[in-house]
Amino acid sequence: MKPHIFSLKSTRGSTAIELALLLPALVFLIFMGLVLGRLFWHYTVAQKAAQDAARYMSTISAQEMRESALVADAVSVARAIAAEELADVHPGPKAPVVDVLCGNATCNGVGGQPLPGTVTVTVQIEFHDTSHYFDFGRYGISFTAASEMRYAGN
Amino acid sequence: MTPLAEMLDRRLAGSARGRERRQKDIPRKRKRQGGAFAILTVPVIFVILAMCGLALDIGMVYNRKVELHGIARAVALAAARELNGTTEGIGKAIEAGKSAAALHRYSYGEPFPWQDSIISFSDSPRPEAEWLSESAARARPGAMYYVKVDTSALTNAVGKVDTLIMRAVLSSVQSVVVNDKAVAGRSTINVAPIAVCAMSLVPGAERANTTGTPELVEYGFRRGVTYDLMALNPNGTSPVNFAVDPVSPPGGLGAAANTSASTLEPFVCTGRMWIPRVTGGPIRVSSPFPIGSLYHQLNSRFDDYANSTCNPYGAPPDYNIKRYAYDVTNGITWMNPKPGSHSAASQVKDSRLQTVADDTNPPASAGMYGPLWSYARAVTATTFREDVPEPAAGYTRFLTSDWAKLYPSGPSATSTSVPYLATSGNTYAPPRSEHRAISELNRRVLHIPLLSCPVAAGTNVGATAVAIGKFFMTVPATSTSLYAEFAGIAHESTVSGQVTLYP
Repeated sequence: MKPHIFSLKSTRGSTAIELALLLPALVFLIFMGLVLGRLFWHYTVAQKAAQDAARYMSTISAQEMRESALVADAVSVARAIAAEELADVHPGPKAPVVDVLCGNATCNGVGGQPLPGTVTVTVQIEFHDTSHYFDFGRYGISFTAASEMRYAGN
Repeated sequence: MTPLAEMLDRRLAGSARGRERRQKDIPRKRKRQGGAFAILTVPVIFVILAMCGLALDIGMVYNRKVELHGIARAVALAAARELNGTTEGIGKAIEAGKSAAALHRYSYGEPFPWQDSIISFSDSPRPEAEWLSESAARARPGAMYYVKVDTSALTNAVGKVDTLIMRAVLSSVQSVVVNDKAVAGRSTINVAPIAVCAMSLVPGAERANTTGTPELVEYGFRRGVTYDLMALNPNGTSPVNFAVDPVSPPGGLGAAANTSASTLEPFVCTGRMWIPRVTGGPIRVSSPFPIGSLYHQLNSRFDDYANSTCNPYGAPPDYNIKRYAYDVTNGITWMNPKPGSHSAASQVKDSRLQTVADDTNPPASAGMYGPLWSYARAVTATTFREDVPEPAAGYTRFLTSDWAKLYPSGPSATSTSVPYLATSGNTYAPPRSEHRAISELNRRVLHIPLLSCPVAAGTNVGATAVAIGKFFMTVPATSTSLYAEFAGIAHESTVSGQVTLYP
């Protein structure tokens, strides 16, 4: 009976040990796939948001671009376009930041000055792993999606 | 031992043996199960890796698709903005597209490798339209209104995404190729919603004069001569003029309400309509043009915003708002004698309502010619070619010394300079100081469709525009008159307004 008992003792819990050893690797792989998938998804959404907002700004009328009140409205619409698309993503504790530039300056209405050559919308995202399996630090994985388009208003 | 006791003993002994047997079996089974989880883990990891790899690779493919989508749209919009009906415009479109592409990155930061071949041109935004390469478009630039950008035309595989893990699972999926297209082109046209009849359907006729070099007469109009656009008719003695439906493209059904004064007001202010072109099909017009309700809007070009909703930012004044009026001091200083009216005097001849300047016979007095050459000069017909846009430098112009031959019994010129282009003196007047910075050159030039007449009377009727005339407003319009000097024909591609991306 002793050898039998010894054999029983030697195998009992081996599957648990194997599972304990392999489970972290499996979970890591699964979570890594999920996190990277989420990261790519965020990148795509940020790019689209920047492009669509920039496209809107690139075709506002010259009158809107000249008047400070009108261009402020246009910028708020552009931000709303980006925000609407970014509402689908949850990068972490900090909300994405959307910046809109007319030429190289803030859109304040150019008045009698020449119209800007380009408009730029940038979306800054600090990406965190919301499952808290990975810690990307205080600022997470920070990336910026920018779309600069020729101003084509008239 | 009783039989019952024997039976119980046997059963107990049997169960004990069975228990021993089972106890022997357990370690054997355990031995066989040892490592099973590890063995199972291998295919499980393989499946998990494959799933993760699929997610990552598809994520990268989508990223590339979005990057190329943004680049294609930015390039198309930038390029379409430059198309102006000339070969230079085609070249500028390529350069603008190249500049726009340089602002973008793909593959997470790589510069976009530009090739001219990604841009093609067409006269229609339809996907099935004929899309021409740059060289082919240069051969007929006047018809090119739309740009298509197709990243698949790049020889270096920008759209190729090398898979990381899928290739290990499926050897046939070493890479995935994605591309994107974008079409951009005009959506508005800088043409005012006012139309008049072409005084002739001949694009370029020769008008003989004593110099031997004939003058070019375009659709019955003479450059440098001022007409009252509300007092012309090539087919009758009563004036005809039209309001153009500013939102119904050629071939559309239109609506009567679209040509009401209230609807037309903003379009008259800006001199722009929400249609991409006025040729290619019948446009919708109503007659007459409600000048009595809209002359204030026309006069925004003279920095006069009273009695209208025109806004100087949307409808800026001209940089020179001098009124070239015959009846004010220093109104017209370059002619001797001064004209006796704001335009060439009206004349009914051969059942046509025209001007004395159109007649082959000289008028009764020099003043009847009206203001001459305030903006445009008469040109010779020698270099005119039908269906070919006017060169950037223009046709050969006559000199002021030719006035006696061009306008027999008419006035003589006291100055050789173009009055409108002055920046000081009696022929120049700036807009008010707060509008000076936003004033624009040539705002006083109205682009007006010239219709093939007769056109049925009434509202919302079809009419064919044969050309777009350029008319320079010499003085502010009145409730009954619109005085403007003919300045030539604008090719439709040169009056492109807003450009937009097409789905």
